[in-house]
Amino acid sequence: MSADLSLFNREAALLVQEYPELEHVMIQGEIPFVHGQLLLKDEEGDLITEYSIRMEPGPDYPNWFPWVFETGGRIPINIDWHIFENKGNCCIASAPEEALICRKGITLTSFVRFQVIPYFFNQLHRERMGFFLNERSHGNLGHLEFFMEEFETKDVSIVIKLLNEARSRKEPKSNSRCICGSKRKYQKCHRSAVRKIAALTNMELDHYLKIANDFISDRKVPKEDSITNF
Amino acid sequence: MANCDHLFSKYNDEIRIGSKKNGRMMDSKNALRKRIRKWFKDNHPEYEPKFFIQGSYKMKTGIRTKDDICDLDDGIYFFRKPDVTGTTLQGWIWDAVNGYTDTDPEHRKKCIRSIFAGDYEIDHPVYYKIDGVPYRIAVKDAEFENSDPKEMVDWFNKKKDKEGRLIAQVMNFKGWCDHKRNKMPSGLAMTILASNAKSKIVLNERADITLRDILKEIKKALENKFECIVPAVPGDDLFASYDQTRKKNFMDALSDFILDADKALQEDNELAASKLWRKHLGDRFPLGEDKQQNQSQSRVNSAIITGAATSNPWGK
Ligand SMILES: [Zn+2]
Ligand SMILES: [Zn+2]
Repeated sequence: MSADLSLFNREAALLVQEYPELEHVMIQGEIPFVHGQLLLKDEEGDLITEYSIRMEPGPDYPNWFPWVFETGGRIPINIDWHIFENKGNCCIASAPEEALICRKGITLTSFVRFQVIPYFFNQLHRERMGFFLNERSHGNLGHLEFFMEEFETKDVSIVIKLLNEARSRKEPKSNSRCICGSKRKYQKCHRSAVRKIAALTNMELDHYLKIANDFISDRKVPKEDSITNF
Repeated sequence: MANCDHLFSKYNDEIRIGSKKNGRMMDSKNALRKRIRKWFKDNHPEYEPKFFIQGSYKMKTGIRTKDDICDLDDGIYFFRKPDVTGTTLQGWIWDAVNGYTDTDPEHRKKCIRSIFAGDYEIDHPVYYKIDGVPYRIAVKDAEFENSDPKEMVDWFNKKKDKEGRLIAQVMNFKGWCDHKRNKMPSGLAMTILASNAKSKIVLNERADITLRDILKEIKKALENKFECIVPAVPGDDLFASYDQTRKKNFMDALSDFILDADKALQEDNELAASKLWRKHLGDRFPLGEDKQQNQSQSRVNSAIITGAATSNPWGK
């Protein structure tokens, strides 16, 4: 896969209209990017702080998020700050989350508004208070946390059932009981969550099913308190 | 989410070497220098001592221990090749300073120590330097060794920030090791570990946050490789002699401190947070006020919390 650069350029042109502190740079023969100041404002529109950023399409835009870099030296290149140490780009969401958001179709403007700005608010929380709100665990556990949150369960075996349900590609009858064991009707219980997750490819679902199964067979079933914030 | 930065400032003031003690120590240093110069003039005029303050005093990371003791390293340099052993050369320094303090000076492996009981200690390491050869330190009952004390100070000066945050943190770590005792690492080791960790992070304006961040990076580095290399000739590993017990003791102390530091940062009550810091820094760390510092009550912080609400950053 390679990035759709002309789409990036069209989107970037729209983005900078809405965020005039960002600049769209196109140089002949080079990969385009957006850079400048990202303003964080409160609800009344008063400026709280600003971050210097640079945004590049990355290799797979728009199938994956563009790459975002903090360029002001305010955040260390350290995985504990949610910055990938190999490239220095921000890790904004867990992989399944990112895949689902992109599959629905992202625009650069919605990406900045709903992903980048909240991410930098969380960085600011980390800077001022010393810790992130709602950060996911590193590695595969972070992916499982995403599914547990989507399925509103702390039980990995239920996650496996529901992932298998999405993987089967056929829905149970709406008024049959939900496969999670809640005794509620599927329609009123996990239907919409399973539909959302079903947007993942078979390959992706198999990958996350393997992670979940490995997790259970290693008896690394997370205790309630080892799972963050929900 | 109590911000204990102001308590750390007070703590630093508390463990810092006060101006009176510092004045006494400088007077003693000068008196000893005078004695040593005179002794060589009278006994070995072919050896002319030069002096250079080094170590933590030079780096401004010196602290007062809980027994109210501090130390000063005053290096002695001879710019010639000695025709006696290092031990003899040290012995001459011993003779020179002997009689100045009530207790006898100590002839240690790499220095002569004058003890000003209950107040401070002044160490005299002895070096010689000739062209084309590194600085050589006298070692008791052994050959001279390569050792350049200025190198460590220069290294630290390059690492430190102009706001003095790294210096303050090194003092905190030395205060921690002094409070725990129990074979915790030396001040030099903590200086090296903290300085190395600093390059992995961005120093936070808040000392409590920075301290926790440095602790975590030290732990990560030591889990990767348990070593503490002196960034100066001859590049000794200060942890080379640690046995499993001593290693475990330090790693456990690190983990415990990190656990409580994380708790303290999330604690709303300032008094409760200060008690968590005290568990590791001792009662020279001041108690906070018994009041809630609920950050979400401030308009800006509640805007930050709202702004971050939909963010779930992840890491590989
Ligand atoms: Zn991350
Ligand atoms: Zn259900």
